Amino acid sequence: MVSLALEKVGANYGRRVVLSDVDTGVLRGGGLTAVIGPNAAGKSTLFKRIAGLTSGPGTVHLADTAKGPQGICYMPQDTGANAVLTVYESVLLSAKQGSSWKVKDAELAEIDRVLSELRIADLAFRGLGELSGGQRQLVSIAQALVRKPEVLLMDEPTSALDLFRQIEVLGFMKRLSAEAGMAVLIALHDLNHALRYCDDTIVISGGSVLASGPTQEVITAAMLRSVYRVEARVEACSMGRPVVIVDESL
Amino acid sequence: MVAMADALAGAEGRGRYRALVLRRLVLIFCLVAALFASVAVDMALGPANYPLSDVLTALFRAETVSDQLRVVIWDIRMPIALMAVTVGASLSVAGAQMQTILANPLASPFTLGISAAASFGAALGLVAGVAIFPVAVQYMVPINAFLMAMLAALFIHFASTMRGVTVETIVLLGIALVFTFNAALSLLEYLASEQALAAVVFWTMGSLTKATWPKVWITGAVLVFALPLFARHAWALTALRLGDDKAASFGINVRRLRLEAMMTVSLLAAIPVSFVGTIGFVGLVGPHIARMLVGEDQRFFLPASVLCGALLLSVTSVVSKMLIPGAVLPIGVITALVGVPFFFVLIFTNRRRAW
Repeated sequence: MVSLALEKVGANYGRRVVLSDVDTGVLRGGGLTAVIGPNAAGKSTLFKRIAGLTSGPGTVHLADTAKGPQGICYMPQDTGANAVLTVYESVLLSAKQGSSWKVKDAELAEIDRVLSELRIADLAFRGLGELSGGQRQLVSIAQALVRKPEVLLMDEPTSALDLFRQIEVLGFMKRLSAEAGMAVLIALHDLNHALRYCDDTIVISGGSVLASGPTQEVITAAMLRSVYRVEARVEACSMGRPVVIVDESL
Repeated sequence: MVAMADALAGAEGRGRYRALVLRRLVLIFCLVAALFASVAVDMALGPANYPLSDVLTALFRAETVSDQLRVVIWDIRMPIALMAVTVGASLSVAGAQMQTILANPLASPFTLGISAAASFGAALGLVAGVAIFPVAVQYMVPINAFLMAMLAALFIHFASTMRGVTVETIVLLGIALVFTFNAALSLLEYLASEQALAAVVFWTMGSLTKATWPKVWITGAVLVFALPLFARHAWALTALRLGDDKAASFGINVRRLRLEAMMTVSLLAAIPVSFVGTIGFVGLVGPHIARMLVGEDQRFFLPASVLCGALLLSVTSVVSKMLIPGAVLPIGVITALVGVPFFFVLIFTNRRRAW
């Protein structure tokens, strides 16, 4: 099972330091890790740095990997680009990068499988421009999954989804990561989702890691006060699960 | 039961995709057939009214016809007909890839200032007799046009490599170039003698009548050089249309791909413009028609752009000979007049498949 660890990882845009000295423990495949923090904290930059899309100091250690750095897949936030392509073609496009023009039946079968797993097979021949924000997000997930990543970095994959789809996608990703031994890092804003679905959590603020470890140990009232500037409680709900209750902003 | 339904839906996806591909191949084949027909008609038409049978004999058994007929068909009509094909194809592919790499439906050799720069270069030669590069007088105008077009293209190209420059900025820079070169051109026209003014105006209208075999070979050769480069990056170029971040996440070196494509596009746009003058419409509309017909998967979009551009200009060449019998109207003018109504019909009937 793949594992990932960051050692003193940083990233710069020109002279501006966006990320510095990010260290994590070993993140093992088979579970979800939440990456949380306020807006512009450096979550997307961290993902791009791990995926090798930006350069910077430090080392990304990968162990027990079959694909090496190629196995790392970054799923960016959707920018609403309106290519004249169907959903099916856009997923095929992701699978076929760097290979020949010829499309094999097995490749199409894989696309069919991913689309039906995400329950968007009915959208397959809709144009990308006709989709809602949430539907586009599901298509983005399909584009990432069809590449069969070992490490998947999802940048706010549930931000445009309705409640049902949020729960469904996170549950699906948790199941999939366990089945495939995939390491999944998810940038999230909903801390209750982090508490419910993610084993570990990394808190980023101002370009550095403020805390990391098991989610329930990281998401505390003290952390919420210092990072999010809110007065909040983390309490057990009637089902016994911990939930964040926000009282007021500071 | 659910699993079975899902499996069926899956199989249906595969089948529908194969059907989609087949439909596109048929469309591309139809475009090829239409292009052949158009080129044939283009060669059969001309001020000297030869019957079709004579034209066919001259084409396939040239040694059996009179010298005059042979010269008309082989040295006048055929270069013009083939020039329409190579120029139309080059401008259309150049426009298609500009639209792709700049993610902007307005991008084309015309709107990015490359045609305007070429016109200014040509006018420099025609009005002031200035050769930017010392060459024989008969090549001065096209070489001037080519050098200015390349200069504009390189400016756009290097601007696009600067940090912090977005694709929207590039298009703005291009539009600014159009205005600058048009102003410089107007200034030259203002200063020009009547004879030189007429030459400049005729040049900027765009005309295929200056076609010769060497020009056909050169534009054809650039096309043959450029198409495999684009074809090799077909998947990556298509992915660019999903946005830079998404393309990069697919493992594409976006910056390098954009640079490579822009360099090739510069050549593709500059050469034809320097030979035939300003033919603005094909580079903008050819790719849009192709996109509406086959979508943006470059495996189909690229050949369809080639064919749509070639067909558009070839049909225009035919129309420019037919409108006023005995006269050949400037093709740059006719392209827009013929193309615009057709384009409007396509846009209004294919709203969802347009950009």
